[in-house]
Amino acid sequence: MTDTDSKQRLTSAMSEISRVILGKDRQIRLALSCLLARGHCLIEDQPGVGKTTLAHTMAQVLGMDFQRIQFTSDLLPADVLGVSVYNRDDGSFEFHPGPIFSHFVLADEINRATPKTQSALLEAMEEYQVTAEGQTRALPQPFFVIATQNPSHQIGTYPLPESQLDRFLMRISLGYPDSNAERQLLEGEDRRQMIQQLAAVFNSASLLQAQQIAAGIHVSPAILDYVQAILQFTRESGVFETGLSPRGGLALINAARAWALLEAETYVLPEHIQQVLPAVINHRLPLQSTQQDSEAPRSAADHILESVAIA
Amino acid sequence: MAGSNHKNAKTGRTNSELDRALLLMLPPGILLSVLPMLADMALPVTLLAALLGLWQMLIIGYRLKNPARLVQILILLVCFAALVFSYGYVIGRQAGVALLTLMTLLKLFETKTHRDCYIIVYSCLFITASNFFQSQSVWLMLYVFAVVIYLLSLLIALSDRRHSLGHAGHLRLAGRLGLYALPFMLVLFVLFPRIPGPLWGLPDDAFSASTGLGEEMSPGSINQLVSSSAIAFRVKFHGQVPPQPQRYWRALVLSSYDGRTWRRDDAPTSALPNLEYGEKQALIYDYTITLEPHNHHWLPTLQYPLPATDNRRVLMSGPAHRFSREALLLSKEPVTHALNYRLRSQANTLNRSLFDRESYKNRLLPAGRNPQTLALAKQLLESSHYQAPAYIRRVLQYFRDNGFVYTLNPGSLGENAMDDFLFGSRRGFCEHYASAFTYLMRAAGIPARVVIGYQGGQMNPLDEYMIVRQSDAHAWTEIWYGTRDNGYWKRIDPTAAVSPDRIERGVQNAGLDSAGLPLLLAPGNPLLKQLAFFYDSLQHQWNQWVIGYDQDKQASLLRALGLEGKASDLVLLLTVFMGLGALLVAWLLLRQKTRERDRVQYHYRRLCSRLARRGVRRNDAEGPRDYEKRVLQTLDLKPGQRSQLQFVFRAYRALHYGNHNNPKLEKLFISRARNF
Repeated sequence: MTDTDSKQRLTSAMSEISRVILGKDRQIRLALSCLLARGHCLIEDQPGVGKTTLAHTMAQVLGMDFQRIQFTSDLLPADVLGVSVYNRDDGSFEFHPGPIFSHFVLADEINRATPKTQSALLEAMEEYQVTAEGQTRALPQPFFVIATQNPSHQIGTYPLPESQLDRFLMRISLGYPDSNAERQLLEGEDRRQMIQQLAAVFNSASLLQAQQIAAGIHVSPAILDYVQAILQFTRESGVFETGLSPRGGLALINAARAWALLEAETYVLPEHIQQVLPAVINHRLPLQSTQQDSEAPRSAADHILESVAIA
Repeated sequence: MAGSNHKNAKTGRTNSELDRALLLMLPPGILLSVLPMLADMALPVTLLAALLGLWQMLIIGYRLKNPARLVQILILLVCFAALVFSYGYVIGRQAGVALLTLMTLLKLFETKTHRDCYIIVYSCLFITASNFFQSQSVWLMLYVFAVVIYLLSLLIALSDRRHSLGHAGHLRLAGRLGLYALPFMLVLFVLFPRIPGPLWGLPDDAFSASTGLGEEMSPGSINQLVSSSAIAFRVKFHGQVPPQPQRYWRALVLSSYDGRTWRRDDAPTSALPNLEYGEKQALIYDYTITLEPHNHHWLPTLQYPLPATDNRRVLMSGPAHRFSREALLLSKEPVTHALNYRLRSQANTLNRSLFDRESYKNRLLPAGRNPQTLALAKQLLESSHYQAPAYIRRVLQYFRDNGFVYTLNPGSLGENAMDDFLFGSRRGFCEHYASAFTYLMRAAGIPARVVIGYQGGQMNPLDEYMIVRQSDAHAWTEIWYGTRDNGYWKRIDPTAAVSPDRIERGVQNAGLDSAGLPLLLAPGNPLLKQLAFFYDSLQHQWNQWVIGYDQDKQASLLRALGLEGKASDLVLLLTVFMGLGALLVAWLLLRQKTRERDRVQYHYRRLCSRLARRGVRRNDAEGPRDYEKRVLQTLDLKPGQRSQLQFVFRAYRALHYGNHNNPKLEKLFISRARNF
């Protein structure tokens, strides 16, 4: 498979997904680049804006087998990872893999589960493997998790701590569709049916290839300078409680690589960094409380976009 | 692996560590540095050097084994033997350079480490510098510069152990460093305090390579010189130029004769000449001579120098000197490098210095020789009634009438040289005629002496100075004319009687067979002549301003700058220049660093500031693509400009953020960005 082939596939995947998810091109693009950068995605929004539909559509178009785990307060780690069951016929324990053994996992309403279950999932996401009953089992490749989360002030939730949020490459929110898109949505056919009819553009092999191409996108010293300037700004400006970790910087670069690939570029531009910046860093950078209280709340990315100069 | 590397680096023992290609460049380096001197070295030494160089190349090139220790010692002994055989000693300039060359070549046998290579290259640099003992011409300077660059590139290659530059890279870097050094070299040359005389003692043979008039004259000593087109000296006249027949450049007076060779007076007096200067100002010539080194003391002058200040000092500028009894200028030090001096001469001055001792000495003849000549003298004296003027006329007439030939190939003369010449061969060059005429004068009791020097000179039309060559070397006679108490030394040139053209029109028109004359002097070939003049003009300027740049010139330069010309001023100026130079270099280095890294960025910034002047300022945090979009939206551009701007932005992005090193695109980007 060639580069151009990958790029064509990516373009058609984009257009297929946006046929179902109306007026959310930017979010689709972010979710796709998150996948291409081998990261996981957290979608945080109100119920009913199409989080599940987005995940479902992506899985369908990318040709990945799809599993959905609805997180509830009584969900146990074993329900996610799998469980060993005694087999009476041959007198041994047999492992029954949980829903996580899948290419594309939608972890719905992750903040409804207990921290114990949450961390079981997050560890699997990080390590790309599951250790249960002393045995380590690799997860299938490619492996992509979209977790959704209701805004934390709703009742009965266990909000993810910052250290766990760091495991997600991006956090995006869908938001309400604009009136045009909403009109079309209301007029249009059933989304679930549409999803069924979508043709798969990728398979797991071609997706892995695309991920490899994304990882090979050139990052020039000038871009590294810019990223370092951003990291330094988050640590020294005093706007943020803590600065970005090196992992945050790496995440920024990888996400920008994938974004560049989606724009059919062979190298990363400062604009690519800027495009992925809010999604990549906002959940990693809590603002100082004084800043949060200000009348017009501004995100971490806004501060950076304003203040960090491109040489 | 890493451990063993470390060990090698530390002990430096393994030969594999030294690059063979680098080693291969050392023998040529040694031979190149000694090459200009090779021709003057003794033949055994030259052969040995070439042989050793070749052998080394073979050893390195074909990975042959070095000769055994014993063989090496044997070769060393052979080298010493060759040196002693050729020079008789191993110190002094020539032998010393030969010794150093051979030892450096031998050093190659035991070259195992980088340190050895450094030693060889440094020795080469020393040998290269010693070339200037031999000659100080422009060409040698250029050659030495090239060799130094080559040696410098070897030093760079020695330091560049990872071969990150490549051979061409080493050479380029060396060349660049050489060029950077030029301004410093010039400043040091101009401002470094000049010290009169040599800074330290040099071996006696340090400047032995010189041709020209010797301090004595025997048959054949001058016609040897005629085939040489080498420059004896150049003259710049400030004002009128003497006509060709008056261009007698007096160098030495020879007054003692042993039957074959004329020599200088072995007990010269330190008394000053008794000169009677003419009154007409018209015959005063003001001139500056740039004398090529000849390793003797004489400084050629026209008849006769006028005192500059008092009677003791004659030169208006020039070396320390003495004004002799014969009205000759003699420098205190042997002339070992080109030197400049300016003086004035008055042609109608009479030299009236004659002590009794001088009168006696200048009438001496070797006893018991040349009976025929003495008889001739007696006969001519009788027929001229013992009158000196008539006698002189008769002798000259004798030369004119008796089929004497002016020739470069006079043939050899026997025991009674004068008899053989006057009655036998009758073929002679100027020294024969001067010698015979002087002899005949002395035979008649008239004090007479031989003067050697140069006669003639050719004006270089390009630069308006006169060139006097070795081929203009000449000998003539001075006789005491008049009574003992009221006479003077009169110049008589018997050659003029035999070959008037020699004096009137110069040696090249004297009707000599042109085979004996240097090619450049041969008649005809105007283009060649023009080229020769141009070449000489160059050489002259070099001698004037580089070789001849001495304490006086330095001081006058400083005075022109409004300083006093003291050594402390020089040091001050030197310090200032060096400080400025260091600052300049630092600035250049810093600038080069930023420029080399960000040439593209530099031009992008300039483009941005130009666009800002048109109303679209780039925000600090604005990427090039966003900015391009905004510029295109905001500015009202013609379609052509628009596409050009788009190209420039696209090229910038590809160059600054892409991973292709594309010099062509870079050039295009820079030119278009500049033009926008």
